Amino acid sequence: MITPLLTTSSRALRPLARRVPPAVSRRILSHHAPTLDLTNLYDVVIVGGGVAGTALACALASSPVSRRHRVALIEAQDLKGVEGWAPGAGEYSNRCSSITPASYRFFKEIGVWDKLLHDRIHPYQDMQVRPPYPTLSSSFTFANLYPLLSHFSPSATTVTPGAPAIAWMVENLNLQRGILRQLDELRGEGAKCDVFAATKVKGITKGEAVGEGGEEGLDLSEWPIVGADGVNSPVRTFAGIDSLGWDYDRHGVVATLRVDEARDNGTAWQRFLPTGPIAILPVDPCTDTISPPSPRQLGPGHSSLVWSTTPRLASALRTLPPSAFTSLINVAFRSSMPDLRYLLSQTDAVNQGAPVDFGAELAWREEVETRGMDESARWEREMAVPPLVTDVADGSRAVFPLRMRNAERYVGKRVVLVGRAMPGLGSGGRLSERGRHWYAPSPERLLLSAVRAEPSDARRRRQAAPFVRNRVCARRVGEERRAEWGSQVVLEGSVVSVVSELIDARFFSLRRFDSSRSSLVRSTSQAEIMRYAMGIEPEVPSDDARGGEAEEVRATTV
Amino acid sequence: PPCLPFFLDDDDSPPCAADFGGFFAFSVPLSLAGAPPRSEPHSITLTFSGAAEYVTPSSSQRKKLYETHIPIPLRQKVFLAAGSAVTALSNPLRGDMVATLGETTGHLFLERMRDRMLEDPMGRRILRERPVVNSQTIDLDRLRALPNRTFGREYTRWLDTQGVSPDTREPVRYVDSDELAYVMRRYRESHDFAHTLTGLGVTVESELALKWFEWAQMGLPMTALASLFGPLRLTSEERNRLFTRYVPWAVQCAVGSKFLMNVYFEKWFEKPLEEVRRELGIYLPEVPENDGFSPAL
Repeated sequence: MITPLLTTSSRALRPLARRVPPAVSRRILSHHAPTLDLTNLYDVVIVGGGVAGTALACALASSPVSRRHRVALIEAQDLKGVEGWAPGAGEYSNRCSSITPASYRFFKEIGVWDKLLHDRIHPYQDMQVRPPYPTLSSSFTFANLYPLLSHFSPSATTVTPGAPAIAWMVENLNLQRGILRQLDELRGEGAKCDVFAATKVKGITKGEAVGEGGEEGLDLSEWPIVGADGVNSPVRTFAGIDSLGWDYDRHGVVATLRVDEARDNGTAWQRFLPTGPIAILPVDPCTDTISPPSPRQLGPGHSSLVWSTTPRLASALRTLPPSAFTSLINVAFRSSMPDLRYLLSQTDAVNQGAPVDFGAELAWREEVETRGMDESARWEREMAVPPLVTDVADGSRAVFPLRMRNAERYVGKRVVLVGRAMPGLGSGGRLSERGRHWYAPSPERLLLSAVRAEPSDARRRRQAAPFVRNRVCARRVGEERRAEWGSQVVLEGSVVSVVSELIDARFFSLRRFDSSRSSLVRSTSQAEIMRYAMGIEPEVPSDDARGGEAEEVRATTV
Repeated sequence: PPCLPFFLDDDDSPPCAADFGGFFAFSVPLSLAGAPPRSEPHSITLTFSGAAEYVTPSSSQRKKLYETHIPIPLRQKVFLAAGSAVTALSNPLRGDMVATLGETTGHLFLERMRDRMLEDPMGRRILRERPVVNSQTIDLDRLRALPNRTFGREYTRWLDTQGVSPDTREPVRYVDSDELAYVMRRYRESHDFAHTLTGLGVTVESELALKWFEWAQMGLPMTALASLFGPLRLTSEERNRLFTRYVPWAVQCAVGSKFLMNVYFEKWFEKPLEEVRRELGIYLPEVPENDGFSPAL
């Protein structure tokens, strides 16, 4: 088991104005230690073998230009389990990502998409986002994203002929497995990518010496180290890049659910509660990725739950009996706020054995509210909420603390950071893939920009700083808004929130923040921004006032 | 139900020329009358003067959600509210007008009351079981036989001395939801319990003090109107007394006490009255000896 000590030779610290062919660089790096041999020289070292790191390795291997570079991928955990992942038919992991069309394009380009297990991928065509109080604002549906309801502009993503999908739900393991398989195939075709699995990086140093006896080191030329190793990235620490942010006072509860099979499961649902959003994302397979939503033929639907809520409530939810837990999810989507408040206050009592039946309470309220409604009104009401959740998969409930952390900058001196570590939450994968694709249309350009990092370090710092400042401003804006709108939820922890906070802080300066601004205008802009963030439109919506700023945001948003 | 003028129809379409066809006493053959402006079936009657009147069946298009429900459109509700407000102010003894005023103006506040009940376990129980208070459901003889100073005994004593019975409540008519209609009914039926608890009689002054109490607790617009305009009917001396002594007490007591809609009164008949008052946070006003205002208990 190699524990490599990465070194950068001091000669390579000379700023290089142009690209040096790798052969030359290898000659420069020499003879540091007797144990060093040329087989340990790599052009690019990627630390971290999660989805981001492996996808980047695959992208480098698949591009004919960068294929000849030697790439090392270092992952602390054993990847055998991922490669040999063979899940049961009806069981879904609770770690899923929602892949946007931009990410889909990226995976298709590098050849990963075809290696995925398609019978475990679920494209969904609609997203319904609801506020806590139905009278406050109309719900945001997928239709809002497009001015013409069922028509897609050619520049947007009709990625499959026929019905579009706004995103695909893929399990993280499925993705990693597919990427590793594609990597294997590309290695067979001659790409030089070595995977060091079950290998921990002990440290990263700059300097001449390699290390005390017996330790082999990977020598690095002027090419950068790529840090794809998560929140507490040693690569980031090595580069001296700070990670700024704060802790949301919220924990995310994830679970795999089974939903009512009578209703089609082709929509992602989200409701913003005063304590945080709850979301259900469909994960069960679609036999036909092309046709419009059709009744499931494969039995009960499966969905993935993400519920961001207070820490106290999250720990209470984790220990609830399964029937109470599923009823509470239904209550969270269907009840009025007073009802929900009361029932959530009973979770502790239920955990101690009190006989509160959430299902019966919900049934009573639904019966009272639908009394006197005719069939069509009842149907409409039912279609406005997700399908009834019937069961939760054993052992799939987990709780994660939610934090906002953003690296100060993503490109440092011979260091590039990729990926977005947001464990367990479906929206995390969304932005990371999109960001990488956006930042580096070709991976070489990404790495080249790292090589040339020195003069533009300051520029990059300047670029990133507003982004970080925006987050702080966004938080302050959020607090102002919360104060203004009382119980109206300040959006946190989801794509919509990141995007809308970006809008508020970045595109509308605090001076111009004006609550009397018509909500219609805001929602239009928000829809545009959402399309950008989800990868459906390549361009940040620009207007004259913010044309210059759009460029900056593009560069720093990951 | 009051007889509605023919041009106030039971649908929400705006009045059009055909509405006023009856004003013109010309005879119009049915075939030339044109299509009715609305889609519901109509019956067209010809009066002996030959004028054509469009008459729509009065409430059958809207569903009756409970037994005494009269569904009416918004336009009519506005008229009713205005009319009943005027009548109730001029003659507060018209209980039916007071009730109509409450029902036509109180929808939002009934929802708020219902939501407050949903947040309390006893309130939820009341909403689920829907207990009603009348002489059939409450055995008044049994209550009269209870020991003195119990809630049930004092309640019946109050009923007897004031000469009222729990059956004299107006049925709810114009609330368009059966749950909110029950909330309104419960509010009316617990009015007598509130009298017992606060010790107020049925004189105009006492009723107004209780209206202030209810306004502070429940916020219904009808209680607000009664509280603000009712005192206009008092003499200045009575008004003075009301506002210096009884209104401050009523408001303070109401704000500090439990929301009375969440109290399942029927379960507390055997309890001593003082204990009930203490648990609910209700205390009596300080009444000077020679005051004309004397609480019944």
